[in-house]
Amino acid sequence: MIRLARISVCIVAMTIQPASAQRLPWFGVDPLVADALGALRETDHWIATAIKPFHPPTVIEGRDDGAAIPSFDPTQHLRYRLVDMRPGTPRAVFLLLAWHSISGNGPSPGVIMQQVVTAAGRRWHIACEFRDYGLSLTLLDRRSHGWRHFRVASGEYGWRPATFTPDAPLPGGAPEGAMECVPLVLTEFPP
Amino acid sequence: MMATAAVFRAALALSLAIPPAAAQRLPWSSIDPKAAVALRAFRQTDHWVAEALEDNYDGERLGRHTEERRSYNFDPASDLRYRVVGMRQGAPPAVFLLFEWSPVRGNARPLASSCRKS
Repeated sequence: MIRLARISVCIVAMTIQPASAQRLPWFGVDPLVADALGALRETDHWIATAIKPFHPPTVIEGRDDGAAIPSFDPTQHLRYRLVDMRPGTPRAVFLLLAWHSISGNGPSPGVIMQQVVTAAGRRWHIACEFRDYGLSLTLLDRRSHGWRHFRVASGEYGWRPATFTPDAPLPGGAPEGAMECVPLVLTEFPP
Repeated sequence: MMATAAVFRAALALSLAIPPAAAQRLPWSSIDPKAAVALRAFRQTDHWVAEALEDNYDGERLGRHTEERRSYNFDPASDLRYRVVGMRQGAPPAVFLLFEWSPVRGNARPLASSCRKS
């Protein structure tokens, strides 16, 4: 009995940390965002081709230091945002590829990845492509088909049902519930 | 007169800068740049994990998933956990990098390394 008590006291002492200890969670990219990026990479979209990694790293000809062309690195070049665009649907994933190799000194290209729930399971669908400078995106109060309008550097966007999924042509067209974002007001840029 | 014009201009600038009440401005998220720099520095080393990160496990597919199998290549978006921590006052923060990535982890606990700017 005493032995049992001693063991349990020992266990309690080991599990409870001293008052001044501080427990921190690890940080990482939201798994839904990582999944959306993986789905984008599977497509034939020009961005997917542009962010395709080199293996082994390609060395620039004629450079003695053997400088390699850098591959796309999500830790440095990816901006993202999970947004509730319509209640009752999975959150849309905004991906912005803020990488000089593809954006130059203009706004960076980005896509919205929509997760469509079908009878066969969840599928990713590219809702549209846009451009932004990576500072902020604005959600507007207006909605079409229940989907919230938004504004980025390349303009203000509304929504309509999608008829096809870009760069992943399917025999039956876009899955039911797939949406497409369309520019409504083009903003002139650079200002 | 000049003052009125200036006030008017300031009010105009303000009204342009503030979106209407219903609009919502969201910043973009990203991985902490300190963690990104630390990872890049770590990848330059001869540490065995750093060398493993560069390996290609996917053949021609290079990081693309297929229906049969997901990509095994290191993808910081899904395989990296990190934390930037002030370990000692006055010193630059340390960056904890955790590789939750099966080629270096197997089914054991993930591997961690801590980098400090020096």
